[in-house]
Amino acid sequence: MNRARMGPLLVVLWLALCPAPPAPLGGATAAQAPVARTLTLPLKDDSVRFAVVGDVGRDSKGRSDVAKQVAAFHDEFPFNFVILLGDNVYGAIGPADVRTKFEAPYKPLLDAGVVFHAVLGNHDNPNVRFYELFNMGGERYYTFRASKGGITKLTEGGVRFFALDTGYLDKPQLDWLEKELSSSTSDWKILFFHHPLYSSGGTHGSALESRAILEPLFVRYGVSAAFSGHDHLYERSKPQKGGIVYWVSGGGGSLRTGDLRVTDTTAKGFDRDYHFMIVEIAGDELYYQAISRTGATIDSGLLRRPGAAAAEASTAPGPAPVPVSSPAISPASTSAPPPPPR
Amino acid sequence: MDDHASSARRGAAFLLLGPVAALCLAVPVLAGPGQRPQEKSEAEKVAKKVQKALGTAHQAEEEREALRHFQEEVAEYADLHARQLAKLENQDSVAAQEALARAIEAKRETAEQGDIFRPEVQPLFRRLIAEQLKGPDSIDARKAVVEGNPGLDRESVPIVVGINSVYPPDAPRSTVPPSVLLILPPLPACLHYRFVGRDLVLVDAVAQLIVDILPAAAPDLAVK
Repeated sequence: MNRARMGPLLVVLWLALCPAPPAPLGGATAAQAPVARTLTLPLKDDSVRFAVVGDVGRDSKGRSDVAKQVAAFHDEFPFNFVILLGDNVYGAIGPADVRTKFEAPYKPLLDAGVVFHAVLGNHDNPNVRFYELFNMGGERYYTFRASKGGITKLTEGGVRFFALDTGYLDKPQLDWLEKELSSSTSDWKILFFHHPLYSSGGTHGSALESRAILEPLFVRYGVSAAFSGHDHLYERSKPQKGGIVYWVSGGGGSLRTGDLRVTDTTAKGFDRDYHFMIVEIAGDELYYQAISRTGATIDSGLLRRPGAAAAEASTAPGPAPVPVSSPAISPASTSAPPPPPR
Repeated sequence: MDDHASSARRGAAFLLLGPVAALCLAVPVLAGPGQRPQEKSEAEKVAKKVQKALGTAHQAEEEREALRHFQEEVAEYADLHARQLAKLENQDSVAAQEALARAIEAKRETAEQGDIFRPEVQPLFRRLIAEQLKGPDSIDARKAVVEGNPGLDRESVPIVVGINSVYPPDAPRSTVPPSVLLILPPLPACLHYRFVGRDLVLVDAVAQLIVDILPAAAPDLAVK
């Protein structure tokens, strides 16, 4: 065989044998056909499990698809509660409004007894804090503790969550936060709020003033991780001051395709489809998995608690992935409605 | 009356306690590891600006006097709010908040713009706000005010607000930057500052009623 004939053959062989290139930051996984769903979290005994969904307030097929996918994963990864990252209900919040905008898409989870905890976003009517199913107790900012098998309010140990109203960071709120953080003896202190302190989103980006005020408190009192929305994309930051990892997860009902500007703070990003997250905390380890509405895993890994022995963020995957058998959910471009969740 | 006097004292104390607040709150912030140089530099500037803002005391006699009147008006409104709220059953419900709005609206039938933001206190507010929003170090603060601000944010539509009207339920709320919030006179929990366009609006945080408006309170909010 001469060289002229060998050339094309080698190219074909190379294409057939070489693995696909790794997905670049910014999301190579465009909205595509449904994919095999796998659970990468370990499902350890006595772990704290929850889901994270941001910016679910806009009526969209993406919101509906994400809600179905969250429910499908709940079947395989039973979690007790969901944190909502703001912009949860656009517009009016009368009983009929919240029924349509929130209770209908999330009915399977609500029926399963899953509890939601929300923070306010800039598109939320502040009075949505009185809406019972958001469990805010009428407050703009509040705290709760999660323990294995459920949620216990305001007792120590385990994982403690702090919900903030970053649209209005006034002194009473900052004083409250400092008091609560300083008195908490929980191993894990997790913050969630709407406006991200670190974001590479082109539309909004990092809220630098809020960072200037909040980050010193987070570092001083050993906060472990923070979840925000606002930018309609997914981003996990590299560990920042104090080893804190900041997540942006604002694609539960709105999406800005191509809005991610990958920066040096970006550990992983995705802006090609709607998404949500599931998280499991066991001992000093936090396992995370970000999932697109088609069920594809867009990010997963393990974060060791900052301050714990040999604390070091790692992106090493968790245990062997477990297939999740959930209904196919099609991307928006597909006209066929997705089948109902199991 | 005692409430009003104590509120006024709190207001005057607020003006003198700026440096203390600075020590308590404004810990210098260095940019986090791995940040792009532009954001790192911007973050450092913002941290310095917030620190400086909180350390600024406003002690001019006429300003303290104007502020005392403002605090008295605010305290009077807070009393009205509390009285009307106490009359409602099931106060922690969305429906109750609407009933509260109607009750306060009826009680303040004759309220006019400038009842609380009196002319003599308006320059103080404009100056304090300008100190936080003007200049190249305030880009992030201006950006925060514009985001979700009806009329300024390209993703929202302009709204018209009037005294005693309910903040339109479909309209987003502007973010009030921490540096602005921490430098403005403190409010009771029932009242919030918000920006609508460049106007500073005093909103009942529960009834969502517009209580007063300070026109053109913010300087030009261009981000670039």
